[in-house]
Amino acid sequence: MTRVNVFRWAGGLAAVVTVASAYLATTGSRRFAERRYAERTAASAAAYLARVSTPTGEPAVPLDPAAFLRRVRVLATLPDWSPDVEVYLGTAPLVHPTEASLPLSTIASLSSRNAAEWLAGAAYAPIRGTTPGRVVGVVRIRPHLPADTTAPWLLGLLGLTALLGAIAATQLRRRLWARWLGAYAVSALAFGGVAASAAHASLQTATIQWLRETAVLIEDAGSRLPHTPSLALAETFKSLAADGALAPDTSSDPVLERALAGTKPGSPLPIWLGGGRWLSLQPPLEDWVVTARHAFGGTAALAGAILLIALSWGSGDREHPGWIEETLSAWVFLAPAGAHLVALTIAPLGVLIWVAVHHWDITTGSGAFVGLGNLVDVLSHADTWSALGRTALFALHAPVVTVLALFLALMARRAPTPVVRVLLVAPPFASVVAAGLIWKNGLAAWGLFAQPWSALWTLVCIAAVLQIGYQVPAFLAGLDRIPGALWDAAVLDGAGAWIRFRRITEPLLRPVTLSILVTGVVVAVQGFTLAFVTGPNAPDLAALHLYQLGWRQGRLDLAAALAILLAVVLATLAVFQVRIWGRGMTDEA
Amino acid sequence: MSAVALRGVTKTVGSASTPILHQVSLEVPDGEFLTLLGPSGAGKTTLLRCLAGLEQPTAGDVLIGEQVVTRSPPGARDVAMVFQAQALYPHLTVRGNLAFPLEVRGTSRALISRKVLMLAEHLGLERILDRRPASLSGGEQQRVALGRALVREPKVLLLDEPLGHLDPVSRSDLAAAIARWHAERPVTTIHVTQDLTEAFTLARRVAVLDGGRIRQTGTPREVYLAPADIQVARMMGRPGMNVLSGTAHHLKAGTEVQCGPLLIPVPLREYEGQILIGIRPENVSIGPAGRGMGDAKARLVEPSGPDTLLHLDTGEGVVVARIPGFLDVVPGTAVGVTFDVTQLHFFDSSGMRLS
Repeated sequence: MTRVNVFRWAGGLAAVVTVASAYLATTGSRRFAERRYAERTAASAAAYLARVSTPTGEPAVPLDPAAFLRRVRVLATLPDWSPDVEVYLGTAPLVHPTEASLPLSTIASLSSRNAAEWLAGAAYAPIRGTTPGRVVGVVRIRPHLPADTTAPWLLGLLGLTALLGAIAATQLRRRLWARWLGAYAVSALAFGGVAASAAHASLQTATIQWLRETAVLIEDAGSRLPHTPSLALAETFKSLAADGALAPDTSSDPVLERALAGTKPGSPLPIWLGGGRWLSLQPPLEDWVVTARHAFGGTAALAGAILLIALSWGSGDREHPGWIEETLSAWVFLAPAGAHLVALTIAPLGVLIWVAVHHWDITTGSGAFVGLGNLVDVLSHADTWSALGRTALFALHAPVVTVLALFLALMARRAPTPVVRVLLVAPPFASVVAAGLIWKNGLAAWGLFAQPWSALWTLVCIAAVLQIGYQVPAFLAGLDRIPGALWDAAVLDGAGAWIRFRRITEPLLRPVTLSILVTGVVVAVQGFTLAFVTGPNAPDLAALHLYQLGWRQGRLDLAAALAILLAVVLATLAVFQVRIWGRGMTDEA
Repeated sequence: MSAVALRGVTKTVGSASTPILHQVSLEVPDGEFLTLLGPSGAGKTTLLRCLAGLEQPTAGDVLIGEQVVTRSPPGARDVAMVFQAQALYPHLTVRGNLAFPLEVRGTSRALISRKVLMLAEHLGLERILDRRPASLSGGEQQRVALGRALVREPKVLLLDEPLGHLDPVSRSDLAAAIARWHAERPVTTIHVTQDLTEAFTLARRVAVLDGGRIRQTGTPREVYLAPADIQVARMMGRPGMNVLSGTAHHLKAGTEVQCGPLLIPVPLREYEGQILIGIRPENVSIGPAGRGMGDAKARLVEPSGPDTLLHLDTGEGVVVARIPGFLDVVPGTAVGVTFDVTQLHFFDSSGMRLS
């Protein structure tokens, strides 16, 4: 690789890193704030439930389930306290009883730690009894912060910064490039500033939200203990304050003044419990380090990446003046296809692999890492093996059909009218579903779909007709690419039809045949639609088996593992076909 | 080796009203090298394909070695053909390509390898025997194509513009190789070209084909010096012969032809009326305006080194003159034109040569 090429790649990589890191910087701080909020609120709610489930306010084990259930109902309907909350007694959900139960693994991991745990977009906090380490219930909170209004500004500034950076890079070493670079730097700094303030605002919003909701909890809990003085209440409800602090409010301000004091960010929130009792809930200090980290990270990534691009272009090819513009326009043209590829192929593939190596729960979208355990599991089922066997049998039609299609293509070239070609090419004009249903309904009358085995063979025939429709035109196109003079020369040399086919047509057509054969086998192994529309007696082909496993039995992880195994087998098969049969194939042929 | 003959061969494609070949009759004695010369679209390749059996004539007969082979399959005619391009098997090596015609005929392996080696040596292909056609130069490819045609020693060899796509150096190399081979083993050869030089280098006899008809046959010299009609005349040489239309007047002193501004005394006796006069560019000379047979305006000056082509507008048509060396004529000026009257060709108003 030449030096220019290295720089070109570095520039491209830097561009991708820029966008990714700037995106992370803008969304990361908000996600962090949401997580903070959910973890604190879950912890507060768990402490609240532990306190209010007994008349004395002291936690008790065993917990009274009836009282606990009542408290949970109250919690879910508290005014001004409307987070997406779920409470589990053991593993059973109480707020929405029809929801999925809590996996035991979550309880196990919670019992070993004190703080709330963040899992797949929600915070889980344990409710403990008096026995140390014993988790009796779990509170789950999903964040619900108000929408972030700075997001459009951030994105706009990001776009402006990127634009200025690109201009600065293209203008490199030209007359005004320093000014463009300056404008870019200002814009990058502005982006950093806005990102920092947005991050700080998100954190503040999260804290205030938590503060108000915890105040509601403390008010409710306090009203159940009407005779306990403020000092004792502050001690009893200490655990509700999570990482904040709760103290009796000793100020002598009028009631209205006190209530208004709570609206200032960062100041303690006064809580009125009736009977002259006031508590003051002090929020934890805002985490400036986090804010700065996000902002600095975003700015640095942006600046560094563009600088790298500029450097790479600057050290580029002096002999080729237009290449910066060419590189830029190339990226512009590549971007849609690249985004499409990443979004629809690479990313789903990554998800598939991730799912395949985890004991993945379809309801929670998470699970523990099991490595090859899923594969071992799925292969230990007899069903899997019979599905694989049936698929292999079904796929055997592909080579037969390819030979048939080649023969038909050779015949069609001699056909006097184009009608023959149209007839051969016609079948795939219908969609596979439509064709499958038409065939199925037509052939069902003869009882062909009554038995699994006859259904399999009928399916093979339908697939063959559809495949021929794809393959004949491909062969015809391949044949048209062979210069006619080659056959003329062979005819003059006295070669008969068979020798001409064996020695000239077949070797020159081999790349086409090979790709058709590989595609045919792949299509056959992936054959899902036909089997799917055939109905209850459908042969359980591998693709259909995957579907049943994933969506009917809810084991997407097993299905993913099997899908990966199938892909590996198919790839191996294709490589073997090309290696063995493609030997001696020429590039130009 | 055998003589080849075409008897009244006509070829029509589909329902087209103009046949590609029209009543073509041609005799090629055993061992002769005949060149079919004609512009593109004249029907040269169709004629070869009819001879080879790749196409069936609509009417007429093809004879090879006294036998009518019109209905015989190509493989039975023992004819070999070198195609214009793209006729080497891309998936075989040079050796495989050369051996193919013999393998098809069931020749023994030992004989095949001996013949291939001999031929390769003769055509200078030893060093490229194990390469694939795609890695060869155009000249090498056509040399291999020639070798493949010659390897089974056919009765008749057909060459379809074998030098057409080659650069000048490979072209003369291959032409020399063909000529040498033919001198050593005189196989009846029919060679198709639209290039006059190529025809003159190789051919002993030339047949001029135009519009699906044979216009003239003869030695290159005959065809060049006495073209049978104005089509042939225009085809010969580059640029071709100038043809001027004029009126002949019989006077006491001799015959004179008035072609626009040019008054040309001609060595014709007692000819009166419309006439076409042909004169080659090299037989036109120029002088100051007012001298010579009449004046014409210089239109275009094309220097080419040894000589300069001067396009002269007579008002009745353009006459091209080939003047030795470089020329200081400014386009637009009038010059006097003189024809070498001993080199004039005469055609009647239908285009046929006047003897």
